[in-house]
Amino acid sequence: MKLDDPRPQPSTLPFDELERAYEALALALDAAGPGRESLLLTRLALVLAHRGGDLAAFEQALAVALDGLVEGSVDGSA
Amino acid sequence: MRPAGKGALESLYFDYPQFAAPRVPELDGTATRHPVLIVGAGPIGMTAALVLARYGVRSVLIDRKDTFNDGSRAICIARPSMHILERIGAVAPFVEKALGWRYGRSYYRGEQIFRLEMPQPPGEKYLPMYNLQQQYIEKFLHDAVAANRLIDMRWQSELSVIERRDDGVTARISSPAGDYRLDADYVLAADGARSPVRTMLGLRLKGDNYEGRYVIADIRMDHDFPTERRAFFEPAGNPGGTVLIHKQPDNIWRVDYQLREDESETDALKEENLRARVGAILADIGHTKPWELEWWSVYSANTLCLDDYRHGRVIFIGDAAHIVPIFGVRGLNNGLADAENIGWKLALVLNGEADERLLDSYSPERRGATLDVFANATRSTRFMTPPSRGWRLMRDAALSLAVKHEFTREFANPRQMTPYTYADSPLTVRDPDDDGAAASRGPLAGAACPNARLADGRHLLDLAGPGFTLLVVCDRGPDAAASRCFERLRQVDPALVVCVIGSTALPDADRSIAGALGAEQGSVLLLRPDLHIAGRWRRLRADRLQAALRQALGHSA
Ligand SMILES: Cc1cc2nc3c(=O)[nH]c(=O)nc-3n(C[C@H](O)[C@H](O)[C@H](O)COP(=O)(O)OP(=O)(O)OC[C@H]3O[C@@H](n4cnc5c(N)ncnc54)[C@H](O)[C@@H]3O)c2cc1C
Repeated sequence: MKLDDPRPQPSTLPFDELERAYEALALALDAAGPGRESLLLTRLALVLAHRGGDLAAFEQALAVALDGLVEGSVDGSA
Repeated sequence: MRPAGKGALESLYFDYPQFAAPRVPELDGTATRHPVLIVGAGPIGMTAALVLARYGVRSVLIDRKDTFNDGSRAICIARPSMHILERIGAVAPFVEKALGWRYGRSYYRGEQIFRLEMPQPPGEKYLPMYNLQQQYIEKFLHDAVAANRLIDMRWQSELSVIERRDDGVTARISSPAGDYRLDADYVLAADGARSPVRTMLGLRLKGDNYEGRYVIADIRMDHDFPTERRAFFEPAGNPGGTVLIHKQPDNIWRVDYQLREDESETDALKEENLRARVGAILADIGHTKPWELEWWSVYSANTLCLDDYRHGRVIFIGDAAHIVPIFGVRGLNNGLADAENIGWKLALVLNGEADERLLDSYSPERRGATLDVFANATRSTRFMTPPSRGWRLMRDAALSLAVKHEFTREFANPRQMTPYTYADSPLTVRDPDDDGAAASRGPLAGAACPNARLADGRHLLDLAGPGFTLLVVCDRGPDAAASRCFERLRQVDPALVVCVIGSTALPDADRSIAGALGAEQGSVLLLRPDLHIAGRWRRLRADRLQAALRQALGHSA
């Protein structure tokens, strides 16, 4: 499966909206706190998979997120 | 701070002059009332004095120090600031000495993830950005100040008391030559971030402080890399923090690096620790040759400003009015725009060409610009120094995705300064006949006017006058009605300059000038002295234009 599909994606967000999503998620992460942030993100992914209604697209998005996953600097390891 | 054994002003490349306190007429009992007293001869105070002088207005400019600011502080001069420097007749040494640039790169763990490319429309005269140490900025401005007989520059002169009245201001000035009282019609407070005038008036800056701390170090090295902005996220040389590198003239480089939360500022500022960290950062970018340390300091971002920049006859400009984060290089540039904005308005009021109400527009226009800077800077600051774990996770997610995917790369854009549009200003005319919004191509009323290259190699904005300028797009040249209209406008502003785009004097065969303005045949734009667009119309209508010009001069309709 190709990760960066060169074909135009029909329904991607314009940058300013992506930025608003970024901000909303940052605030939600802080609200959840370190103990529950993984659960929050996992729930969010499930909700998005369900609402997206497209299993192949979900699997592709998951592969994008997994690929090149680096040691998180937040956890102090880097 | 400077390396051990060096004096506070012992620079590797800059010779600090020492200015004496002058013997002033006030000490000999000759008290004259001055039109304007400017407190603080930093870059903003000096620029304000030069703007006033452009209109023939005298000022007394005082500074408590005996030389320029120590160390290199602001280093990036944006295109609109170059235009301000040009209008006050000071731009030549800046063009000669500064390093112009328009590109940048951002890296994440050593991989390039973003290429910054600042737009350079073909009609522009200046590049988007120029790097120059603040000492040179102050020196070049001071050379112009010293050569100007309308500016009475007084070093080693400290304002110690200020008393406001409805019709003027009285100040107490202390200098080695003696203490004296000075009366002025207006005071421009350009006395910097810790503004004593602000404190004396009982005013406070309001806003936010950010946690992240950066060490700012200037070094000298022979390093081969073009003048670009380089940002390194999670570099091997500064684990857990961000690094910024900028080139300056004289082989001086600015290295900014973020401290981790657990690092103590005191330790980080110790010379041996600083040398070790800078050495690691340089090794990471492949510089193995020797380098010398010039100056360093620590910095954390703030978004703070006064609720009102004007308090009767005392008007705040520059850092005295607002403190903005350095990411996006707006501190100096924002202040220069303050100086020009209040400069032309105050000059026209003092010269009797505008109503005093014109001054009421200063605070909303410039404070509006500052709030806009805050909105942009808050975003870039949250990216450069994430304030919490949530923001940090988001940033790391965006950066790590950016290595292979385009869609998050834009988050690494530093959002450099863009000029503010005075859309809601009391001086800006919104006419139902306004062609800007309809065409939605050209600049809107309130925006800074774009530049265009003329057939003879000059630029459109070179033609603008010190007062208002009317740009008319008209292939056939003005007819009798148009000429009558220009006459009516000259009754309001005798210095009005009219440029007819498409005439034999100003040909526009390929329509590139009209195109840059987003203007059609018959369109008219009215430019203010600071070259912002006061209003724009589809066709010349004497009554509307005259009303707009009066409005832009603070007169009632
Ligand atoms: C470490 C550092 C790094 C910076 N980096 C950047 C950057 O990269 N980009 C950017 O755009 N900006 C930067 N800035 C901000 C920039 O330096 C300021 O925005 C700029 O200097 C503001 O100019 P000013 O004239 O308003 O104030 P100042 O330069 O502070 O000048 C104020 C003057 O007022 C005088 N004064 C004060 N009180 C009195 C008194 N009572 N009587 C008489 N005189 C008085 C002082 O002596 C001083 O000369 C930086 C600032 C610092 C400190």
